[in-house]
Amino acid sequence: MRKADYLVLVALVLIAALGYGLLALRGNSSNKILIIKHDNAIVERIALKGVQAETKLSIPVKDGTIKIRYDKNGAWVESSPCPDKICVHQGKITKPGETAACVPEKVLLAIEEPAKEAEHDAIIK
Amino acid sequence: MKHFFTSVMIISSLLITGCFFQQKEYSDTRFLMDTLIKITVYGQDKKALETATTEAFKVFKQIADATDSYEGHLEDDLYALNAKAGKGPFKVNPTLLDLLTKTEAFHHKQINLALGKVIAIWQAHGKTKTVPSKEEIQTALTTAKPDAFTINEVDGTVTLAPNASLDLGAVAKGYGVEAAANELKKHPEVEAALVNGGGNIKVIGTKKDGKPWRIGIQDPRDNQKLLGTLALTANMAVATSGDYQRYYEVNGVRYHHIIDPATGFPARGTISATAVTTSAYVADYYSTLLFVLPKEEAIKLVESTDDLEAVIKDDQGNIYISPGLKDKFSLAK
Amino acid sequence: MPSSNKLALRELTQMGILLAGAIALRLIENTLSYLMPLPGAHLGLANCITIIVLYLYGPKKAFLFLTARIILVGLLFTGLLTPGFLIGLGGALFSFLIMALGSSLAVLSPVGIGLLGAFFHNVGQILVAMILMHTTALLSYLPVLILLGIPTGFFTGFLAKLFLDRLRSYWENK
Repeated sequence: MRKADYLVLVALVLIAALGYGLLALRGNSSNKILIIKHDNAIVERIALKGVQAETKLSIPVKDGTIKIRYDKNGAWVESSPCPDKICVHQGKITKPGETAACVPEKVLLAIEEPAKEAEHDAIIK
Repeated sequence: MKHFFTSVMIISSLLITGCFFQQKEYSDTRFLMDTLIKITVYGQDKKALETATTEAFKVFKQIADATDSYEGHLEDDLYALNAKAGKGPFKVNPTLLDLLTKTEAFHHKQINLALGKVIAIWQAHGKTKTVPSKEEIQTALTTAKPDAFTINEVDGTVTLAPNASLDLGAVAKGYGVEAAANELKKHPEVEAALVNGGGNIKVIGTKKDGKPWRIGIQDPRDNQKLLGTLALTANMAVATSGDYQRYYEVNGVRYHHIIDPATGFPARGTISATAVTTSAYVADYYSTLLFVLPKEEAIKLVESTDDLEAVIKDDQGNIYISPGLKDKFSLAK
Repeated sequence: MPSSNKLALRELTQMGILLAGAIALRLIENTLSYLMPLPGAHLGLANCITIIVLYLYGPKKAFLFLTARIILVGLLFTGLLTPGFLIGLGGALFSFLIMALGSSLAVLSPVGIGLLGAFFHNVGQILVAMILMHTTALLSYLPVLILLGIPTGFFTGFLAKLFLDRLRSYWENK
């Protein structure tokens, strides 16, 4: 092996290390994913980053229809046929890990991030 | 030269192995016991992780059905038992029997499983945003005396006094979380897992990176902030009881869901009590107990009980951190 | 040792054997393909043969060899013009370009060429995948592939060097 070979080897290792480092830093919440579940099945999986304008989404549920709205920052329940409207009062969820749920209609909105760079494994509420 | 080659080959083979055998994560969230239960499992085989999680949820659902006081699911569940109050011994579901027996073995008067009628009154008033009268509560409390129910372990029956009603809200979730975690332990492909159910968390195993589990405790007055962070090692559980989880306010006074059996009214003095121990069921029990007990007694109990640590915040803003958590708990800035 | 630009019969036979070897290596790689993040992404073990051909016959004939290999792999494994084919193609072409340049500079031994080849092979694969899927998200695969590329590049280069050295000493002793 010649000296130049060693140089190439070292250079590649450095590049790989740099790549990993950048990847670790980049894991912020720009790639938020909106997950909508109805009755424990995922009905929608939307990458919020690509969302241009505010979008409406209706989910038929046992007592009527739940209307959801989302934009590139987050999502919220606009209206629901449930009696307490806790889901509507939840407001807009924007951060990964946040959820809004309509328990009577079994609908769940959740924001997730694909790269788990979260500081905590769980929050006890 | 030879040494360089050898070490490069050894290191690169290790690197390759590391890249191929990366620990994968799988998680699922479901509605059970009127709250969100999230199970996160770590392992190599994604299919096996899915299977293990589904099995764990099955176990949890079975417990949820057996301990639900609002809706009937099985012939021998809690709902059925409550309907048989005053009608003699009733053969209950073994899960229910086990939970009742275990909880009764503790003998703390601050935890009363027969508060069903009292809790029902608070829920009704919660809908109308009113405060029940002392008389109403006193009347309901007569159904919650120590003799309200007796357990016959031999026959597997429970006898409820007339008008008595059991509510297992103080311990059912922790019991469910513990059972779900035990089910996960039966699957060897699950290398590590975290079960999170409405204020009750159990962790099993350690993650591939070897770091402890970081559990944040929510600030009782600001749900965007944390009270602090716990670093848990394998096989530990933590549960929090707080006055901010379910409540309603009337004239600026907060009426929350944790009833002091002595008064029949929401317990006062503590706003958040977190218990750390091995079993999620025990953690759930103690978090409720420590919440109801006056602070000095709570502290005495924690410091005299093995395998129990706690973080308690009172309504004056003081935070107690038990000595065993010195290296494991850090307050939020 | 390139004699002329025309393919002698002996060279053709030799390249035929080497081509078979390259396909065999590709077969072996395929058993590990489920571990790869992209369709058609592979370790690049066959690069070892490409390096040998490059040193023995020069860049022009090696390019011919590469073309034959790519078409054969496409016919046998990935299918021609499928995404998997295009990804493998991108990797192979990009890495060949760099390897040919590198070997002409004569600063590196086959080991260095192998390292460069593996690196640019992976970069090429990701670039094609990104163009096909219109997303930069795939860049996150790069660090893993580069890391994998270091030992494979080292091995392929090292094996090529071993082969070439043996061949050289064989011819010198004849």
